[in-house]
Amino acid sequence: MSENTNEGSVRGAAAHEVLFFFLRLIGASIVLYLIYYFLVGKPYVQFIALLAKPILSVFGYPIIMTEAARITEDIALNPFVFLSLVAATLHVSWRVKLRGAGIGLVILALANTLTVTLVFVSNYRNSEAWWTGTELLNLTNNFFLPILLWLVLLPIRSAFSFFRDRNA
Amino acid sequence: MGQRKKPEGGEKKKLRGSAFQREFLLFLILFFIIWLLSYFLTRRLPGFVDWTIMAVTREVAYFLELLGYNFTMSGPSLTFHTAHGGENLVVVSECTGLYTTIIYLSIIGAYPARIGEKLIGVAIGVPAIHALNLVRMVFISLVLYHRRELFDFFHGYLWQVGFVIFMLLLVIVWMSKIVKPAPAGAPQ
Repeated sequence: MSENTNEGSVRGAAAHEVLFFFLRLIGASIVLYLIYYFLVGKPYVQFIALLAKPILSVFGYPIIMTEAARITEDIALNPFVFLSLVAATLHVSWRVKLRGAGIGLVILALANTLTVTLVFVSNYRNSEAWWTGTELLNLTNNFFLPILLWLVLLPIRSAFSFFRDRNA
Repeated sequence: MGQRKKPEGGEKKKLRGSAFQREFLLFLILFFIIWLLSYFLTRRLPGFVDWTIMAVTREVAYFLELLGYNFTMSGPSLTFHTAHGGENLVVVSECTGLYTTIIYLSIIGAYPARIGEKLIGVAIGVPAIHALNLVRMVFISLVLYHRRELFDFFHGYLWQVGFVIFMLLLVIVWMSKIVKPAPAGAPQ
C-alpha cells in the first residue's frame, strides 16, 4: 500500500514536471519567436543564403538572393524551436546549456544551408528525385532535428525525473 | 571461479551509460528506417496524400460554415469573401499534419516499449495531432479572414513551433504515463 502511495506521488510529481516544462517551453518559444519575427529573422535568413552561395557554386549554379531569402524564411524556424527547448530545460547548468545551444545552432545553420542549396539544385535540375530528397531533409530538419539535438547535446536524462527513474 | 564480481559505483554507471547509448543508437536507426519507409510510401501513394488534403479542406470548410463564414471551396482551395476583398487559402500536403503524424509514429515505433503501449500511443496521438491541426487550420483561416497582415506571423508559429511542441508533449506524456520501465534484465 505504501508502495502504491509512493508510486502515485512519483507519478504526480512527474506530471507536474511535464506540465511546467511545457508551460516554460511555450513561454520561451513565444518570446524567441517574437525576437525571430521582429529582430533576428531577416539577418538570419540572409546569413543562411550567403552560406548557401559558395556551396551552390560548387554545383555550378548561381544563387538568386531574393529567392534564397524567401525559401529560408519558410524553413529557418528550427533554431528557435531548439533554443526554446534548451531554455525550458531545468537542472542543467548554464555553461552546459550555452555549449549545447552553440553546437546545436551551428548544426542547424548547416542543415538549413544544405536545404536551401538543395532547393536550388532541385529547381535547376528540375528533378523529382532531388525534390523528394530535399523535402525529406526539410521535414526532418524542421520536425525532428531540433528534438534530436536537444536530446543529444543536453543531459536530458538527468533533467527529468521519469527518465532518471527509468534508468535507475 | 564462477563467482563474478558485481559491478559497483562508477563501473555500474559506465555500464548503464553504454547500455543507454546502445539503446539510443538503436532508437535512431529504427526511427530513420520507419520515417524513410513511411515518407517514400506517401510518395508512392499520391492518391492517399490528395485524399488527406481534401479531407482536411472539407473539415476546415465544415467548421468555417458552422461559424457562419462566407467562402467558396474549389478543390483544396478556400476563397474567403472578406470586407477587404477575396483571400485565398490553399491546403497543401504540409497543412494536413500527415508528416508530423508520420514523425510521431516513427518515434513511437522506434522507442523501446511494449506493443500494447505503442498501440495506446498511436490511438491517442494520431487523433490528437489531427484535432490540433484542424484547430490550427481553422484559426489561421480566421486570421486570414479578419487580419490578413498577421497571417504570416501566426502561420509560422503555429505550423512549425507549435506542432513540434505539441508532438513532443504527446511523446513525453506517452513515455511518462503509458510506457512502464522493463524489469531489470528483461528483454522488451
